[in-house]
Amino acid sequence: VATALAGLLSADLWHWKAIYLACKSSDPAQREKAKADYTTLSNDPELGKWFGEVKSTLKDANTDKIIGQIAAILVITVITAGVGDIVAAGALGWGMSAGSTALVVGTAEAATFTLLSQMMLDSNHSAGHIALEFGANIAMFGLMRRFALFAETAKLTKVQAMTGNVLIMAATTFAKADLDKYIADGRHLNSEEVGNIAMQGMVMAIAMHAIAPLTKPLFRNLEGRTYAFCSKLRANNLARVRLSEQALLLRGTKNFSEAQAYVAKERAWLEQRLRVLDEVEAAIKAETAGGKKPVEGGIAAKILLGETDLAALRVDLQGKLASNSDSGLLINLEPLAPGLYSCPRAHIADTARALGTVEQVSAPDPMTSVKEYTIRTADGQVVKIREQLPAWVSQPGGGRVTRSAINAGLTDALFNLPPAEINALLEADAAMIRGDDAGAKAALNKTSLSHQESARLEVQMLTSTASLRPKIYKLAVADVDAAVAAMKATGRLSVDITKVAHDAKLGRAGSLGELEAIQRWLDKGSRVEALPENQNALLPDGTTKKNPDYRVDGVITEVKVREGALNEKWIKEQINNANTQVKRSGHDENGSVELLLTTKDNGKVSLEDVDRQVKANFNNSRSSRLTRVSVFKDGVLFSEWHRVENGNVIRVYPSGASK
Amino acid sequence: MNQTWMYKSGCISFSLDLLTSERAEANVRMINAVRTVTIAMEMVARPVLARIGSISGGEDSAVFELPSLAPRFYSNIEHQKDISDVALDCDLLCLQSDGSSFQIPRAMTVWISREQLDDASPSAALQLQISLDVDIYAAVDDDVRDNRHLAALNGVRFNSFLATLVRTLPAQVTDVDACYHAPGLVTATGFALPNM
Repeated sequence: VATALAGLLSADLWHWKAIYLACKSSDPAQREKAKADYTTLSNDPELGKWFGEVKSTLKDANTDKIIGQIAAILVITVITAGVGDIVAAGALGWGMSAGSTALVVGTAEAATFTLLSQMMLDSNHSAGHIALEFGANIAMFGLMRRFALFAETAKLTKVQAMTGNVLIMAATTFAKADLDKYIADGRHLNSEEVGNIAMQGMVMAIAMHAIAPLTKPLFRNLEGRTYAFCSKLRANNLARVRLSEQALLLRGTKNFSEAQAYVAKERAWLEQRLRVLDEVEAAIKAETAGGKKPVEGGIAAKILLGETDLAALRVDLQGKLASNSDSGLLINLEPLAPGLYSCPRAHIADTARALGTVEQVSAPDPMTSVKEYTIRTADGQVVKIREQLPAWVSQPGGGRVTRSAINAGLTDALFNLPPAEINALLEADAAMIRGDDAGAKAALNKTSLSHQESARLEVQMLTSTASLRPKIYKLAVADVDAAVAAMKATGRLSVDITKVAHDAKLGRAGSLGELEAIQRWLDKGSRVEALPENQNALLPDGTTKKNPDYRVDGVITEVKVREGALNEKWIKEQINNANTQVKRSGHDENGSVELLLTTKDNGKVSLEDVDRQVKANFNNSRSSRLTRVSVFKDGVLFSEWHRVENGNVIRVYPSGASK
Repeated sequence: MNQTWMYKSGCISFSLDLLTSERAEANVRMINAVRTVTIAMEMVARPVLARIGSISGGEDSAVFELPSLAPRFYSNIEHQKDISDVALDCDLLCLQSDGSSFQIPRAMTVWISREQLDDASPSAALQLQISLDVDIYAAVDDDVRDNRHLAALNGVRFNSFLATLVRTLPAQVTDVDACYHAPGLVTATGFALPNM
């Protein structure tokens, strides 16, 4: 069946290819002939028979009815796209504008689709039904005109190079997607899907019109030479190969940001190519300065190009660069609704100016700082472009950072920061929410903001994260008595903590840390038990009496406190100690350990350092009696790892895979 | 006031880096370290259980009661190239005021390990941790307990053990963890002895 179908589809029985090529011919007579041939073809009753063959081929295969219908519709899709392509190509050849091309394409496809679906799928051939179907199909293909408006807007700017083929490509993608949706769900694409498909079409168009794959290597026979420019030349030619590969990968993807990145890279590559050309010309001039005759004709003889050829090459490169700029401009616009587009903040001013006269710029939205530009295009249309906020703004942390920057009067500074610095700000926000103020400050210091700007932003960020910050468990010696009284008042403390409190009042960091841990557990509603405190002496059986090892909601919980600066092995050693202690508890049960870092030098402790130390001794083959390791820094949870069912250990806080 | 010392798991610990310039493989250096530690602790403690960890088998891949299984323990270390760590659980041997001796079971752990537990390199650096679960060597003197006498009797022996380790391994004390005690009571040379 596949072979038969392939034969039917590939035989070009209807000479569409010939018509298409004639359309593209520069010969007016050929184009007239193509026009006539297309009209004849459209009216040829044999065409209907041929569609019938396609249908019966599917039927002969005894294909399931529904699958057969879908397959048939897909065949129609291909065919209608083909018809549209011919019409569009013809329109170009006949000098029609991009907008009118889209209109013709839409109407032609709607008519053909109605005809074919009537012939092959629909048993209801009443005039009313056909009219209804035609209307529906017109509406469907009418959606394309919304897309065409986008192209029209582009056409009104300098982006002449992007009309024509780009429009056809995008429109075809769009039409196919709408058909697919209609077939699958019985409805047409909604506005969001239209936007997505339009973007997909544009991405494909960018890929199809990439400059690098159509460009030859520059001065390849100079690559192996030792001129100063040769390393740049080699790099540029290598970049051409890579860009060509990337352009190929871009086809068929919906990844708009990749397309944008591609255009930017291609621009950088073209600019570098122009600079190499400058250097080559300068080197040629130097070789011939003062009427000198270079050895073996010099560079000019090697590249076989004279002065005029080099000038032509420069013009060509400059043209390509302009075309690239047009591409860059076009892909900055994302259709939201008819006449309304969004554009990345960084490009909106240039894009708006290029589209026409900027009549109005709205006041920034107080929450998002977004502005809207109203532009009157050269032909009098009014279009609006809204600032598109970068994706990171939609993250919870991104929203807080943005609002903080607005409140700190740093909106422009924020949106001009490179991605790495934005990540640093998001890192600072996350650190503040963890209560890790030192970590937040360290992250803020990674940005290029001035000291004053950074301080202003920090104040606002602290305000915006205030309600999210955890309670800090940091007990002062003077507060021990009151804290112990409050702990006892909960009624969930089954342990005499007199000795711990006594030592805490002496300022012993270990005892203060234990009380802080007890406070935290009780605040969470846990029940805290411990063995009675004992000093001295062995029990009658010769074993030692132990001071409290806690049970929190029944789980053995070890507390280890680090008073000095964290070194490279403390966490590893304390995890080992805690694991040993749980083993020695005399019960066949597991436990957990809480490591409290209390030194003033904790600002230097990074998550990476802690992560590495924990994972070194708490993993699927070590510290098997521990199910949880938590690290607290300056009284708040800094990081936490859990042993999961398969015995592996995962970091659960901060979330995200540990490195 | 009859309360003197307290039990608290890992309440005091000393971390040491082994400074050996030997080119021997890690397991050979580890067996040498274990022998040195065992001899040095003779007056202070007695190992009763040895737990061997390996990179391939994880923690406690072999466990030996000591001294009865000491030959098998040493043999195991010798033949286990990817040994990652050895833990010696020890009973402390202490003196009382009247001159008699007593033991505190399993109150000290000596843990000798590769710096990075998963570093299989034969030249991996070794570390040692002495972890005490009692503070019998600490000259604590507050309104609840007075341990100065026991500290004077026993602290000197522990300090001697630590000094022997530093000299004979050789090793360097890199960290002292004693967050339940007053500053200066426990240092890199051991326990401050009381003025009695």
